[in-house]
Amino acid sequence: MKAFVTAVAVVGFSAVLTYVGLVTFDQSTAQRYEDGSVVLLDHPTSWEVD
Amino acid sequence: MSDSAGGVRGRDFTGYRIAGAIAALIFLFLLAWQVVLLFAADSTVRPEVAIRAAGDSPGMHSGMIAAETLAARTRLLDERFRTGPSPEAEVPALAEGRANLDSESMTDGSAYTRAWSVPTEDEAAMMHQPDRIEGISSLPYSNAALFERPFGRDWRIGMSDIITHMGALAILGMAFLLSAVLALRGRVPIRQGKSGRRVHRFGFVERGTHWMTALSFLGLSFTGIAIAYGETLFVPLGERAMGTLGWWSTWGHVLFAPTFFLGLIVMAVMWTAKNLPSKLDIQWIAKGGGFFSDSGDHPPARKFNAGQKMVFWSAILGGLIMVATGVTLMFPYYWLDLAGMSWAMLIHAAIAVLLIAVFLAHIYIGSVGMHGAIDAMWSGKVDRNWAEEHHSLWLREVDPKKERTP
Repeated sequence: MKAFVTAVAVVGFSAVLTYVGLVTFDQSTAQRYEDGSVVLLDHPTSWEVD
Repeated sequence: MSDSAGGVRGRDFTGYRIAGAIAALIFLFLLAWQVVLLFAADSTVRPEVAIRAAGDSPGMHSGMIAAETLAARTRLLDERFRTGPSPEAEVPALAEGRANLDSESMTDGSAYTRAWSVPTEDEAAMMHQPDRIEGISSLPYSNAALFERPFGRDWRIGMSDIITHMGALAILGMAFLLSAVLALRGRVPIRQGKSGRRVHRFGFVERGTHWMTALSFLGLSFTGIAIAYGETLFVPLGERAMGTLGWWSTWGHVLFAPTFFLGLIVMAVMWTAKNLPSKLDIQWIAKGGGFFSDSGDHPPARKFNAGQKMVFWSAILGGLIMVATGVTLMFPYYWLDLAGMSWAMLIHAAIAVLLIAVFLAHIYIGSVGMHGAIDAMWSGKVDRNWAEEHHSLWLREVDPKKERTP
């Protein structure tokens, strides 16, 4: 019983920590690679084809 | 059955069997439903409305002017979206709305998509560029003109058809099997009944780690199932329910990952040595663990029997694959490109459904499936008679002087 309750607390605490960490360092993939170092779309857009 | 009565059958056991039978019927129905879905026709997108510029003859569907006009309007909308209203700015002639467009319903729109969605060999060879099939589109997102990548199509079939359906069959099939075992066999009893004397089996750190990993796994499973099967399970509850549950599931799936990984590492350190295969395991498997009959010998086992070893290695190996593939998906393009991430997602989904099926069995046998089993992980102490029946060699290691208590 004590082990179970401790585990609930640890999992809950870790989830909160992870959430705060992710929100703090959140960055969209498009922002991260806006310098063009990674090509996210390896094909032309529809109006570039025109 | 009362714990001290010493019998192996009784009213409680009958109750469990009835519950098992009801659950088995429910899961059988769900399995049948899944089989119907398995053979149902695929959903496809097909054109329903033809748009052409006024002046084209009705029989002609070339629609080139219409396509140019729509593209010009879309481009204008896209610019206005970014710059805001610009009443003074010049409007391109084609987008101005002077070119009248007619629309009419199409009787068989699938004729237009069939050529590339189900191409003949010749059509495929003609259209096949290195790894994509492109067309012309006026839709305002950048990859709208990319109709299909063969790899993307294979990935979608792998995810949407094979893994999703096979996963549902594996999970529902295992649930049905376990319910049927409970209905037909009943709980595995302690043959001699509980002795009332207990022996220490798992310490606080072992139990805490087990529950930490188990709770994380449950969290990951429920959120993962919501992600994979949300459309089937939650859309009938309303789009708001799907949106809310989808949002929570996407976040929640990530939040449970660190403790899951930590649990795997600690369990590997604590229990790997005791879970290495041995000759006893062959004997245990040959006798089916002694689960299928109340008479006959129970195969001897040390701290972990062959069934528990299989669960342990499923958790460690399967879990590490899940963590490795999951982390690559949490950080897109950090280590893998699009093809690599597609493979990671396929592997992640396939192992996930198998792990859920395996751990359904683990949860079953550790709770309702076997009398006295839950005590090992709840209080850490098991009844001596339970230990004698399922882990006789371990009992002699930890408590060599005492014999079985009748």
